[in-house]
Amino acid sequence: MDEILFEKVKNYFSGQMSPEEQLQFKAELTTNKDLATVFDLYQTIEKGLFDTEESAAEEGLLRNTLKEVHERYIANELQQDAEQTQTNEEKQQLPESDLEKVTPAIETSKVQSGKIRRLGVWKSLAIAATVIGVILVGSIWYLQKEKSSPAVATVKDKGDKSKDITIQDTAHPQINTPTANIATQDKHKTPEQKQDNINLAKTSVPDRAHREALYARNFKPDAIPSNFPDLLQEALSHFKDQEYKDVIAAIDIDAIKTSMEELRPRGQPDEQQEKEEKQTLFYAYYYKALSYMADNNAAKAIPEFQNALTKSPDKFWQGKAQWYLALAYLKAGKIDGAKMWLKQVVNNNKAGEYKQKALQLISELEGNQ
Amino acid sequence: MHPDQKYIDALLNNNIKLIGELYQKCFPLIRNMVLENNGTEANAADIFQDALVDLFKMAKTRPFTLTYSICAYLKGICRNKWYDELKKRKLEGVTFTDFEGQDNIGENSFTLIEEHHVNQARLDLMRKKFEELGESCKELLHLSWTKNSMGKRKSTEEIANILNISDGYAHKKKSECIVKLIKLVMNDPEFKNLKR
Repeated sequence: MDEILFEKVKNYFSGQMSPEEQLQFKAELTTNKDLATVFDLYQTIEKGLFDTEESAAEEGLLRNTLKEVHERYIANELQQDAEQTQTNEEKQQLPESDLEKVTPAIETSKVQSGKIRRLGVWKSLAIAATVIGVILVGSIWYLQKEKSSPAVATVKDKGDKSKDITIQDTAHPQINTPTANIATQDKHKTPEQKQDNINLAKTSVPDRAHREALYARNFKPDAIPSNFPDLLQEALSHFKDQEYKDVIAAIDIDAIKTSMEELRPRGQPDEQQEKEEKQTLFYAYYYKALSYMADNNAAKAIPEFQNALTKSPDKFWQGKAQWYLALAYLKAGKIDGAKMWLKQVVNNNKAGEYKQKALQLISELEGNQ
Repeated sequence: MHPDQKYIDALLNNNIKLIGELYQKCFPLIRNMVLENNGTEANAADIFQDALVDLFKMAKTRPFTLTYSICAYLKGICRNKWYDELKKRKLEGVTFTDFEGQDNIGENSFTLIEEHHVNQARLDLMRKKFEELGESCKELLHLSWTKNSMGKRKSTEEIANILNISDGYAHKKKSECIVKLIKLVMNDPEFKNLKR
C-alpha cells in the first residue's frame, strides 16, 4: 500500500494538518477505500485494544448479573417442568370416566392460554359439569325453589333417593358445558387464532403412558465397541454385565483427561493421538449417558449425550448418540427436544438403521400410528 | 426507535430485572440453534452471555440504536460465534443448519451483524499482532490506553514525562507505533477475509 496514505493518516491524528488540509483529507476519506481502512484501524488502535481497569470492572459486574439471571432462568424452567410433570401425573391418576369429561376442557384451556393449568381446578370442573348434567335432566324445578346463597346450592337428586350433593362455587362461576365454553372463547378470536386451535388439536401431545410405551419399545442399551481404550476397560466391563451404577461411578471424565495428558508422548502433538483421545472421551460420555438411561435417570443422561456429540469420532456414532439423546428427551417428557434430535438422525446419512427407527418414532409421536 | 432499545439501556445500567426479561425473550432461540448444531446447553449459555457482553461494549463505545428486534440481532451474533467455534473444533461431519431466511430481519440488520463480526475478528487480529511489536512501542501504547489519577486518559505529555522523553518525540513515536501495528495487521493473510 502507498506509504503516502500512512503519512496522511499519521499527520491527521498528530495534529500536523492545517484546517484546509483536514477538510481535503476528510473528503478523500469518502472516495479512497484504502485510506478509509487505514484511518479506521488507526482510530481503533488509538481508542485502545485492551480493556482498561474501569471497563473491565463494569464488564465484570455485567457478567455477574448475567450469571445470576441465567441461574434464575434455569431454576424457573426446572420448576415449570416439575409442575407440568405433576400435572400430567395427576391426569394419569384420574379414573378413565373422569378423564373423558375433563379432556375437552383441558384442550380448550391449552389453546386459550398456551399453558396447561393445574388439574385440581379441572377436577372440580368435571364434578361440577356432572352435577349440572344431573340438574338439567332432573332437578331444575327444585333449584328454582331453593333459597340458598348463590355460592352454595344444595341439590336433592330425585333419581338417587338419599344423596345430598353440595356444589361449592368454584373459581369458574360460568360453567356451561365444555362445548359451550369453546364456542364462547372462539367468539373473541381472530380467524388465524381459530386456525391455530385446529392445528394444535391435530398435533396432540402424547400422554405419559404412551411416551413410556414408546420409550420402552425403543430403548435398548447399545453394545460395547469391539476395540476400546484401556482407560475404559473397567467401566465397559461393568456395562457389559449391566451394572450401570458401577459404570457411572467408574467413568470420571476429569480423571480420564488427566490420565490421557500423562500418557501423551512428549514433543509435537500427534494427529493420531488427538483422534484417539477424542474417541476415548466420546466413549466415556456416551456409555456414562447410556448407563444413566438404563438406570432411569434421563435428566442426567441428556448433558452427557450432548458432551458426547461434541466428540463424535464419525457420523455413525454421532447418529447413535443423537438417537439415544432423542430417547432421553422422550423419557424426560420433552417431546419437542425428542423430535428435534430425531430429525437430526433422519438427516444424518450415515445413521444406518437408526434413520429408519427415527422416522418411525417421529411418526408415532405425531400420532400417525 | 425500536421498543427493544430499553434492553440496550438495561445492559448499560446493569438493570437485572430487564436483563432477566431479555433472557426469557431471547435465550430459548439461541439455545435451540446451538443444540441443533452439535452444542450443549452450557455452550449456548456461554455464547449468549458473550454476545450480550459484546453488545454492551458496542453500546458503550458508540451510540447504538436498534431498528429491529434485539433477539434477531443477538441470534445473528451468536450464529457467527457458534459457527467460528465449530470451525475451531473441526467437528466430524458438522452440517450447520442454516437459519437465514427464517429470521426475517432484513438485509440491513444482517449487514450490521456481519459488521459486528468483522469488527470483533479485526480486534482479535490486532491484539495478536500487538504482541509482535517491539517492547518500547508496546509500553508506550499501553500507557496511552490507561487512565491517570484523575480518571482521564493519559495525555501524550504525561506519557513523555513517565518515559522521560520529549513531548514531540512521544507524539511522533506514538503515531509511528500505531502505523507499524496497522502494517502488521494489513500484511497478515487473515486480514483479507476481514474486509467490510
